[in-house]
Amino acid sequence: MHQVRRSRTHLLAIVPFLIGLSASAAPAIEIKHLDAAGVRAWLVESGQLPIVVLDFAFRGAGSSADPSGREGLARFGAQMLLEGAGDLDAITFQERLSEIGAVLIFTADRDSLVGHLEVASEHWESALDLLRLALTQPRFDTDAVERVRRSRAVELARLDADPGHVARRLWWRSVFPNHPYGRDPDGSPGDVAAISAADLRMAFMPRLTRAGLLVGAAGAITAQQLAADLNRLVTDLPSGAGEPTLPEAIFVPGPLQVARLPFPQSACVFGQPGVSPRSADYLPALILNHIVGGGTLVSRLFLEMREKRGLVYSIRTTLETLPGADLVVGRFATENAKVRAAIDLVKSEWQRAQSGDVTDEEIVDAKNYLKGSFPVSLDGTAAIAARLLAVQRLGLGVEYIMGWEAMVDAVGFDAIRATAKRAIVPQILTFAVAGNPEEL
Amino acid sequence: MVALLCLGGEVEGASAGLLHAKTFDLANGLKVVLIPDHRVPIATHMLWYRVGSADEEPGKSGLAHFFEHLMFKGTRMNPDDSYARTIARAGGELNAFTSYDYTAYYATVGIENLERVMALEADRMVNLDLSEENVHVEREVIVEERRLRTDNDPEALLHEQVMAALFVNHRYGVPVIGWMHEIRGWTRADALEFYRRWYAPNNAILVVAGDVQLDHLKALVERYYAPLAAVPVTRKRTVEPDPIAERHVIMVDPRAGRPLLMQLFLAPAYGAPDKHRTAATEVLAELLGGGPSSVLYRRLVRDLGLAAEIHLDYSPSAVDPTPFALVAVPAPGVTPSTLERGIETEIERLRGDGMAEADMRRAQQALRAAGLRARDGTYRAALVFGSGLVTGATMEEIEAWPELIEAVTLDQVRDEARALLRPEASATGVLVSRREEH
Repeated sequence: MHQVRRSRTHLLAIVPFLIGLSASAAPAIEIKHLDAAGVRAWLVESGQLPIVVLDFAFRGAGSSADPSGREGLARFGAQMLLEGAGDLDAITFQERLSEIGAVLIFTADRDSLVGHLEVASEHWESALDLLRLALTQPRFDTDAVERVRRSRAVELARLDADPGHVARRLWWRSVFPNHPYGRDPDGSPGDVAAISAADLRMAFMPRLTRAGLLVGAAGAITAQQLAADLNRLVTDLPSGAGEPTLPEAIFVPGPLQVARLPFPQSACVFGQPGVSPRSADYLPALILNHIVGGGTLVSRLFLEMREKRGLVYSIRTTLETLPGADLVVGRFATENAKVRAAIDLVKSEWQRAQSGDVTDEEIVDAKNYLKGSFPVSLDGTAAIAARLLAVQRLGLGVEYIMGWEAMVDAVGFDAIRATAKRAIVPQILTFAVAGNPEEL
Repeated sequence: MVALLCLGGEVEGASAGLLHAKTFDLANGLKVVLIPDHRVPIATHMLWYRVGSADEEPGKSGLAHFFEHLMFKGTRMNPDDSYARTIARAGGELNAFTSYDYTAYYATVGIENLERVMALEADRMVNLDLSEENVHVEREVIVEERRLRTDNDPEALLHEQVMAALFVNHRYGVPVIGWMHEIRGWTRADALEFYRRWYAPNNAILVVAGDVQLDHLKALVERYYAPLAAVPVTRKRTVEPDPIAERHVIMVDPRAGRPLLMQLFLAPAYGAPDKHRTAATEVLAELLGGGPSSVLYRRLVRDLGLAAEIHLDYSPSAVDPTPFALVAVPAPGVTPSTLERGIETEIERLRGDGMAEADMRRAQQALRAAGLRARDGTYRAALVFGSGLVTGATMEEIEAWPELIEAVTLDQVRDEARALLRPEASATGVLVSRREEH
């Protein structure tokens, strides 16, 4: 089932999954908690289709832990985990996976190495064996390392010419100049050229520990069987030293940064510090974010910039949570001649929200959205597993799923306006632009 | 609008496959499909129209997609952004999309809001209320969308050029989003004419997936869609002449971060007379470029090191013969023409006797698994059924798709390779940042 390149175009940009709850209503699902050799896992059993989905994250194994001079190691390593393990060389390993029709994907973000396994339940055991091999006995054969190096190199070359990516990279670098979060998770050509099998063994694999592992699973499997299987999966992993630690990242606001690229449209990223999921301001902040720039067609920014003025195809803001930093990040793209006007509009919406100018009707609508979107976010086995992992990655408990509706209802109108005044700070809203913007 | 309801005249059927979908037709020609899924109390309401960019008049490229955007501008009863606002208040997810052959609108909502979504969707099928201002602002949005997807991306620009070279007489050669100079010329009158011509119950298929009972769905459909009148709709498509020349496109764009090679061949589609060949063609695509264990990846990336990436894109969900697309990124230091020669050699081998049974079996297994995943959840299931039905597959074919894939033989796949992968039926595009790199 392939999708032909650009054969479809959408009303809205399809936004990749972002951590950030948008949930509600009494769920019709039951979440089971498992403990496998000290690893916590959440499971929703579902027999609608004969498939099992396993989503997992090794916290502390993401790109922020890449050694200096080896930036991009986590993403390199993520790709290497599919290039042969144990007695199976790369081609044999890949053939085994496709013989059972399993999808196994590894990616790395700033915080974690993230894995996704999706397989027909009849082949679940075989798929798990392959996953266990990949996580515990990767081979890192020389020819495979070189192949992945070539793949990373052409990807870096593409990203260097992509205004959206360049703007993101510039923004993160400018707001976290003294922290690993400021580095590009994809790394630099020089560093990627230098990564060796020894780096993968010594500086990447030891990060995949039981202590760092979080698991969300869904599908046609019982809790008992999953617990037994997970035990087998994790038993050979290093135990790790509790919660991975990273220095707190200090957000450094600054003037607008521009990376000049010869394209007709400029990409813009903007943001400021956010709110911790553990703070009392978190739900109010989610509600405010929905009103100002959440992903609907009726957010203030969407209305002002797209519906009224046709300045952008898409604009949205999201709350992002990393162990060392909480952020509100937004992005849009517009013609070079209109960047100035677009940025001014974002600033004025930030001012308006900060002043507490939020109507009761907007709050009620936002709460209804957050409550109603919860069951919608559980559309299918893969969606359920993804949600189970996402909530755990935010450091939240199962009550954030099961008690969601009551929690949203309990947020007071005044609390939301107070959070707006406290948490929204137009003075430190920082912008980065890639393109050829005029008047900047 | 005349109410001509006649549910009694429907032809009802249930298919026997994995998803147990049920279908019936209204007297006004609307086809309705229900895919039950009772896991979560939600439903996806997805309305498909048999019109896409390949149905546009010459000079009006992109109008189908532009019109899709305009469908969110409100009606007299539900003015302005009522549609989006209602669904946002329900916590629903919504979007719409346009391809060469179809336009679809969907919302996934809690089951208690299904009726509201249906009322809004049925209302805007016939009652859209467009202002000049709506048209003017939304045209600017599309201009930005085109810049974002295409003009800011040399690889997307190459794809447009190679498509234009592959199709010498068919509108698949014109991009769905439209050419920039034609986007600028759209008017409110163009949009309204397009609306009257294509938007009617007899030109649509409704797919509802989720926690819904058939009787309840029938009652809702009877109330909201049955009153809408059928309108005569005729679709005219041009036919490609027999291909007789290889086409080569060289695009030099100094902004390109890396070189790229793209090779398109003409392949069977659900809506075309060679529909029976689509299953073997899907297996061929998977076998050639479905992933790291595919034949071309193994040979060109792993063994020869000529490519850094290679994959194949093919979907039979099209009305007319459709691209079978090979996309490859040369390894650092390898020129696109060297890679192209390497691919040519490998394809020659496969057109001969170089195709192995084990490779085909793996491809079939991977496809069956992908087919299973594509049915996971109400949104995905509605997408599979809608995109198949709207382009010419039957309910039975969609439910039996895993068996159709399984039944494909090595001889059939080899025959497809010989029939499809002919140089004279192809267009090849190369993207380089300087001409001498080619």
